[in-house]
Amino acid sequence: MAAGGSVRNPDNRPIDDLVFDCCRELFAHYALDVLPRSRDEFPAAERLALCGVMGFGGRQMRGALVLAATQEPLEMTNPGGFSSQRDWICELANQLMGRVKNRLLSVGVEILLATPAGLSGENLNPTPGKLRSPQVFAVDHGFVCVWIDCEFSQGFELQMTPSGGFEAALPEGETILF
Amino acid sequence: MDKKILIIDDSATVRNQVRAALVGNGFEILEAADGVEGLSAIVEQPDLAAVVCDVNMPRMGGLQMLELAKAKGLLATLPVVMLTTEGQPALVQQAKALGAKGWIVKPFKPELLVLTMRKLTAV
Repeated sequence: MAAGGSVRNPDNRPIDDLVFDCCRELFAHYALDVLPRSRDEFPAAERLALCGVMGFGGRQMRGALVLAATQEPLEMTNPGGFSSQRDWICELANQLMGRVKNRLLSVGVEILLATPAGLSGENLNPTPGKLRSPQVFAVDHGFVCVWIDCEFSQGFELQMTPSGGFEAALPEGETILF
Repeated sequence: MDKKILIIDDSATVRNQVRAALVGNGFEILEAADGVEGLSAIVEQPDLAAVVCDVNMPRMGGLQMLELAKAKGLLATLPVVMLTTEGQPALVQQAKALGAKGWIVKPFKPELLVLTMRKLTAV
């Protein structure tokens, strides 16, 4: 299936748009183009090597972000094979949620992040049809899946900035010297 | 002679990525996995040229470590750069007030890290 709006955010939630964009940007930093796919292509649980879970909470929203991947994208983004893949999926989840957090700041939403937790794929058996807004991305012979499970405080509604998106409070990768 | 850089991060992968970026560019790397280990290393290694430090870590975070290091007078000549997923302006200001010399939001660009370290450790 070709990349496009139909697979980007079927539930029309701004938070899913944000996670979608952040996920693609993060993997692009590691020179990996992850292409959106239909939820129907959610890989079988036994193919998912690992997942990283980032809990978060704040006055306006709380929940968890889950980043799951098959073996291939983990190897392709960490070509040096540095340390364990569990450590790497945790760090990727941390960097993804950090990216989401920095953009939420632009609309006045502040959240605190927990340290990431890793789970091996065999301990994860999601039912894709019942998952809340999973985003599925394909890479060569592999998949990256991400979903955010969150609730908002009563009366709070997440909205994009007037420019129609979310802007990072600070640009990733750049150095600010004091 | 290579300059000694301490990387403090709870992710072994990030520590190794920093090592890969800096080794061969005039730097030698020491590692610590949290603020407690990092503070000990700063005390025990008086010839450190600079420190690269994460913010959110178990046991002791980077800003708390910075506060303790400053209180012990360890930062007078030791530049510290925070390397973190955090981009909250209040945290950046806090780090600056505690004596940090820079802030990088992860993921980092290896070539910029090298330039930053060269700039901060230039005599």
